[in-house]
Amino acid sequence: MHPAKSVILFTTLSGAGYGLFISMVVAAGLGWAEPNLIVIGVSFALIVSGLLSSTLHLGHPERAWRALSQWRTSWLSREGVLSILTFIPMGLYILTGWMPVIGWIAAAFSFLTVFATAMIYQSLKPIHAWHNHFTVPLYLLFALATGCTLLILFTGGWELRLSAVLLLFLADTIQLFYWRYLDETTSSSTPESATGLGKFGKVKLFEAPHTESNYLMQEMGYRIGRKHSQKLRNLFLILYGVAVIMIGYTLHDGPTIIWNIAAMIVLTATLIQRWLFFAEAKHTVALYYGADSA
Amino acid sequence: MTSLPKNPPQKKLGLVIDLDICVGCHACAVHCKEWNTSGHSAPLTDTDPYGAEPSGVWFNRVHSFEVIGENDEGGRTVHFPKSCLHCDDAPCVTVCPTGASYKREEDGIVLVNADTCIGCKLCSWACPYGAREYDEDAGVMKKCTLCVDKIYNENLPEAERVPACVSTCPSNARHFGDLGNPDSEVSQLVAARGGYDLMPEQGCKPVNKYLPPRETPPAPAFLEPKMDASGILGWVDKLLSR
Repeated sequence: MHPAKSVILFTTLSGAGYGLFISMVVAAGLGWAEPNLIVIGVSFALIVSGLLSSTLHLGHPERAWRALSQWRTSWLSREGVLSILTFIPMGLYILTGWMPVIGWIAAAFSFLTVFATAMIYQSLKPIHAWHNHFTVPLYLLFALATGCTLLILFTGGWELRLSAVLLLFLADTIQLFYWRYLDETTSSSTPESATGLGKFGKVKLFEAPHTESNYLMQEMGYRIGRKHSQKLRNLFLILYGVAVIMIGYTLHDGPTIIWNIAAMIVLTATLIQRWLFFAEAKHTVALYYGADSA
Repeated sequence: MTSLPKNPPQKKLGLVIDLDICVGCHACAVHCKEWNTSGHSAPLTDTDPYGAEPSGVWFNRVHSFEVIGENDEGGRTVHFPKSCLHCDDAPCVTVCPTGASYKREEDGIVLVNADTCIGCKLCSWACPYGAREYDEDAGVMKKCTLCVDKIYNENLPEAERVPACVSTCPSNARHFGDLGNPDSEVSQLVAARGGYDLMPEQGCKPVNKYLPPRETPPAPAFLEPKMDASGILGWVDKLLSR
């Protein structure tokens, strides 16, 4: 799949923003940190910039409001509705002077919004890399891990830093299992089922419909990103490892600069992870253009 | 509404494509482009049409596949036209966040309302067949309309009220009709020839059907040169062989 920059930025930034907010509410509930306006401001800025960047890849951004209408069937629509509804309890949380119940409601809506984002991808059957049980946990875990890592820049003690380390480690582990799943399985659709010619033998593309590329090949048959996927996977693992070690070493105390660097590293690594999520995903359309599996 | 019709369409207009007959001439794709560039979803924009990387919106494309049997025997080339299959359970319709993508209750045709499409491209991701075509220029998604502006057009003689790809096919490899009616000509054809669905495992229940190439005995591997010359040729052969 074509890794559109706007969508990669959107899912990473808004995920981090929602994760930051959820982490803050949970930390406040456990008495590890005090809710504060700066954290809410940062999470708000991340969410809004993510939402704005997601409208950038639309053909008609001025019609974006229409996307709120089909929540009965469309996960994209549900995500839009939930993201807007979430702002209400978030605002009330500030206005009521951090009333815990409202905080929990806002956190629940944030969680549901990230869930809806993940469901957009998980519900797409033609894309084997997304239509599986890793997609939703990965989106939620990465949102929480990046959010929690951002939260330690502003508040909290060793409990919060330990949580960040554990979340990062967990996200990392599930990601490794996901990549193993991706390497060991393929879609049940094949060139034979795509053409229905399997009973005659092995099906190979003889001649493409055009000598040049087309929308389907650029959007769904994108391959350039896959060329470097092993290197990028390793880079992601190293970066997450470094961040875990950095925060782990300064669990009890440390210079803030370490956590700043760790947070930057985690965000960069998450962008790489998100890039790979798109670039490594194959679509069944490619079966009609010479791919031997999807 | 992007929900599928509450009452599933009784009438299911669609195409039956005969892979035994198709000669891969691309006339259906060309006539499709010609008709539709001034039709319901006009224009079918081309980008860089005379440049180094021409690209454009096509609702119908002809792929050619090579099928190789066991032990490299019985190889055959199959020309394979593909356009929207107007699925019963069309995922492109239900994923649409705006309601621009819809399936008609009266005849099952899947269409896009270009006035409400936001160009998010999600429908093109949801379609396993690649039936959706994004128009970079208009910023909206387009697709095969089954020539909805031709098949009901009372200004045309009745015989011409079929999709452009069907009326233009020189080898009669394309058939159009109501696949919801088991007694229709197309349904009879599907039953008689073992017509099938593409990628049934994707669960979209496509309306369009494909008729498989007929089973033919594989050609002998090699032709031997004819050695038993007789008559005048035999005499010349004998003379020259001395």
